[in-house]
Amino acid sequence: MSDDLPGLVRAAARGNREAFGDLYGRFHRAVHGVLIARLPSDAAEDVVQDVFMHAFTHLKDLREPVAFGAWICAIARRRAVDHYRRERPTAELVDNVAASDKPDVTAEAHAALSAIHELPEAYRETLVLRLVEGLSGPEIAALTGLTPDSVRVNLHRGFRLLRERLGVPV
Amino acid sequence: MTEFKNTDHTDREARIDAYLWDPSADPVAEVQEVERRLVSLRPSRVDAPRVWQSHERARAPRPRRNWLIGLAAAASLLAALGWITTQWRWSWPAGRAWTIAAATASLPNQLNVGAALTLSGSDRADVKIARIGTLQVEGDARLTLQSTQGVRHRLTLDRGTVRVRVWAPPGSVVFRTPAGEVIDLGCEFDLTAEPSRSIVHVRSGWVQLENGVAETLVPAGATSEMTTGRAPTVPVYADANPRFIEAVLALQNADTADRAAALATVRSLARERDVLTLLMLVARNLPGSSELATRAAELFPPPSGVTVNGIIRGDRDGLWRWRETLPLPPPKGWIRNWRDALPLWLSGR
Repeated sequence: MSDDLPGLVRAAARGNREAFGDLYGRFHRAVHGVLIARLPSDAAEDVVQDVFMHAFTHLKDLREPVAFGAWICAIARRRAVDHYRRERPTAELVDNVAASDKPDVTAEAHAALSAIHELPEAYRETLVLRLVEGLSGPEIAALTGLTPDSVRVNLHRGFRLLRERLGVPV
Repeated sequence: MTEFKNTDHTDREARIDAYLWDPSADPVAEVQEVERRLVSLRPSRVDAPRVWQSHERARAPRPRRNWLIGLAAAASLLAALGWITTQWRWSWPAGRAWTIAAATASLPNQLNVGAALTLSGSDRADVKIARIGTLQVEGDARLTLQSTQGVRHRLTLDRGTVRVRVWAPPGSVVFRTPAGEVIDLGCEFDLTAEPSRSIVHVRSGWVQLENGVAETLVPAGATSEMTTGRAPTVPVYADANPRFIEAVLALQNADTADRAAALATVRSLARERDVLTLLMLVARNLPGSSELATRAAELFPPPSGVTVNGIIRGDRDGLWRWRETLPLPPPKGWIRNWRDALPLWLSGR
């Protein structure tokens, strides 16, 4: 994940659109995962754009380009908190409407996401990054700043709890 | 509901942990089931340019808003300038002399109230009508400024020809001639005064002719004559057939011997544009009015509710309504003739 990352970050900071596009391609799933672990899914997609806009305009503030992933995930967490405080009623309404309009796959996904939202905070982000975004344990560790062992524990315990809540047969 | 194989618990947990840690490892059904339920939450692929474009839109100036603000400011400025200019043009101290901008060397350089400007031979003078227009006089002429103030200016033209351009409310400039008064309604016109006759040809807008006998309105492109003791002739367009013009004058002359021939000529040579002339002849109640009204209806039918028979029987309101349907600008629509406020070389005339 860190191949050419410092160079990409420096190029994007100079205004290179292609470099910024590469950064977006690499990290948009991680940012989406961080957000969806905290927000309704509809809101998360909009906030992704907001996070990258903020990151792009503040790239020169990033002292260690190699830490771009952890840095943008931190931005995403702050934005999620801001968004949740500001638009909670609307976001919940939109989420419910969306769920009722698409009763099959989408309703099932929203139910699963709601179950994740009810888990202890330590497990939510790790599980979403793995189960929704498809990231591996090492990738999650690099992005979140957690140790690999912590990621392993979060995945193991979090999935056991989630499986029980969802009633997935063993 | 998916069926799962009952395997050794510890081994299964180890396989679950392995697959959770590395999605490329051997898949485990329980984890795959949860992944399946969550798959629709995966982000829709949004290209980075959308983010970039959002950023650029946010940073870019707002040209439309700036454009609207600029337009509103320009409109306000123009309105203010227009109001100030109009107030300035319409203000003129009572009795102040008019400027003679260009004239033959022997002529004065201003026209005082009560003073006569007398020209002869090849003399010529360009006079500024306060701040609302210009007047050109040349040849053998005698012009007197009777009074001047604001937008009320009165002159006497005893003889000679003047070309007048005025852009101001109707009645701002009135010429008194031996045959009657000529009143500008916001217009450009030529006026020739003779001892007992005045001739007006209108270039833009409308002019009113008035003497003790009658009054008439003359539109742009038309000519009318006013003779002492007689009603001003009905306006007739200068581009009409000369025989038509001559016959129209003959119909209004009580001394005309062969009225039937004149009537026949008018009827045969009238164009659609000449319906105004026909209707104004009808309004005079001259012999042959019914034939003229019939011909007018053939060229330009009267509006609903107005009939030729009614007109012949004396329906004056119907006659006015008919006249008002003709494609002519309103007589008091002086503001449309804004070109008359421009210098002659800019007005396109």
